[in-house]
Amino acid sequence: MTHIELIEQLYRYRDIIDRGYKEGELDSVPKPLQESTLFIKVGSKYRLNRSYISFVNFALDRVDYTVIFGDYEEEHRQIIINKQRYEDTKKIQYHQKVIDLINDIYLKFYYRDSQINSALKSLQRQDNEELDILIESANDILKQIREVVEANSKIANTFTQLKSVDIEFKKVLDELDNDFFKFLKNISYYIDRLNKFIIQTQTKRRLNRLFMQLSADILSENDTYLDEILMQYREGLYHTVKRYKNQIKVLPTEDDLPLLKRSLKSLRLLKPKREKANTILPTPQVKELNLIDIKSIVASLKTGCDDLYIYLLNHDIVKDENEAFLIYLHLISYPNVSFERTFNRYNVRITKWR
Amino acid sequence: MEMMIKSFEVLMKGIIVSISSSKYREIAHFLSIEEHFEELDDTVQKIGYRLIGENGYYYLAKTGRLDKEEITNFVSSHKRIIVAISIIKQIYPLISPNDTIKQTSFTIEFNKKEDETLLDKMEWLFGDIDRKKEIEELFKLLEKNYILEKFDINDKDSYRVLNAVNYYVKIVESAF
Repeated sequence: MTHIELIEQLYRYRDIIDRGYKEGELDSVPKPLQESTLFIKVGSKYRLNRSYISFVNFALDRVDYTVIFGDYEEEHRQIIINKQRYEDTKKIQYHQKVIDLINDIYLKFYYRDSQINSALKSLQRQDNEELDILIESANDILKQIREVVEANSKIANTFTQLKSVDIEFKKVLDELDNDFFKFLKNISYYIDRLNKFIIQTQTKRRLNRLFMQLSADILSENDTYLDEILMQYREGLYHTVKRYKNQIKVLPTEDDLPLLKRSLKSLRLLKPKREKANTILPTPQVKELNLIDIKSIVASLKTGCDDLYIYLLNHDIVKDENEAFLIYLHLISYPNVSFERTFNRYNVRITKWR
Repeated sequence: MEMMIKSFEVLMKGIIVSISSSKYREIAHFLSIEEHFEELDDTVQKIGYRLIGENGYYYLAKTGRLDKEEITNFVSSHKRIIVAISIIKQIYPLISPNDTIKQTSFTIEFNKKEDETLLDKMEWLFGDIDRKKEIEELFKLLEKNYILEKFDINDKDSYRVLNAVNYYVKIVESAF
């Protein structure tokens, strides 16, 4: 079958394929769809080919939470083998194979970046999803991203070695450096976004439960504790009253306006002008990690610590929070770390170093 | 000075000004500047009021004695809005200020839920009326109390969630 014939087949059977995508499995499908392996028989049902689903999800920005992040184990292994063969024989075939593998890994980085981004968007779009499920899904993605960070670190080391082997490898890698750096930077952004999402969702879940509890108590008239709170803090809560019939008249009227204007004028005459509050937030700066002496930080960690991020924040050579977070992202790929399920006051997962 | 008076004129009507409101955004932004907030607060204190503001919303408060009927109104109004927000949260658990809710989508989700507690709350709030009317009344109640705001004058279906919802979040948190 040619590519154009496949496209025609997709169009001809579009309704069945759409049903297969939406319903997950079908009792029967036409033979051509089985022959082209677009549908695979699983037990007595027919399911769409996983590769087709992945493509559609990617194209429609609908990656689900079970997104497969994948690793680079095979490509990494092949690169090491072919690099060694090239060094030993200087044959052009091995040289080309290494360049092809670099490009394969680049594409994997690219697709994975899109997948994680789509997974996060998808999480945040679930406005009527159960919060327990959302929190669980977000934690799963976070765990997978952690694995990605480890894989990235391994690939980065191999690429550094490749640059010193051959000028052509260096040239190809130098051209891709900016993009690789962008993907790595995105990972720290995704971790940050996920951590924030998890914290916010946990807070919302707690609040929603309080709302449900309180409204149940209101309905069953077991709410004297709310009456007490409202009465205790009523002086700050009077805004609900309006100048309608039978309602509390504690709001100002037109007659108060001249008084307000006079007060404002006299206040301005008496008071020195305050400095204008600075409302512009500082733009986070991305620091180059290689300028930081990671070795000395790792050496200083030999006695261990209970919260890596806070340790870094307090470290003499770490300048600010951005730098601490970048180093944190780098260090969590080391085997010495173990992750707790809880987060510190900076919304960063508590990570022990042993 | 003009903006200060304009802010006061709006707040004196008992309006909670939210930063996510398209109607009162300008005032909320003005008051979000510490210097402006403090100046208006200092001024209204001189004539017996207090400017309260946090989490993107602002309103005027006044100390004073309340009679029995006033207390009943004050407490009951808060309870009704807490129950109304809890209905919204049951349908949209992730709802936040600035989000948009469509009344039609809300109705579909509400009907899908088949949750007895939702029906009990609606009945407690609005008595025994039909479903469509109940949901209209719910949106009306929240709009009147500055929790929701019509997205556009020509769009009768879409509402924006205002920061004033955080005022009730704070009360609910304090209650436990």
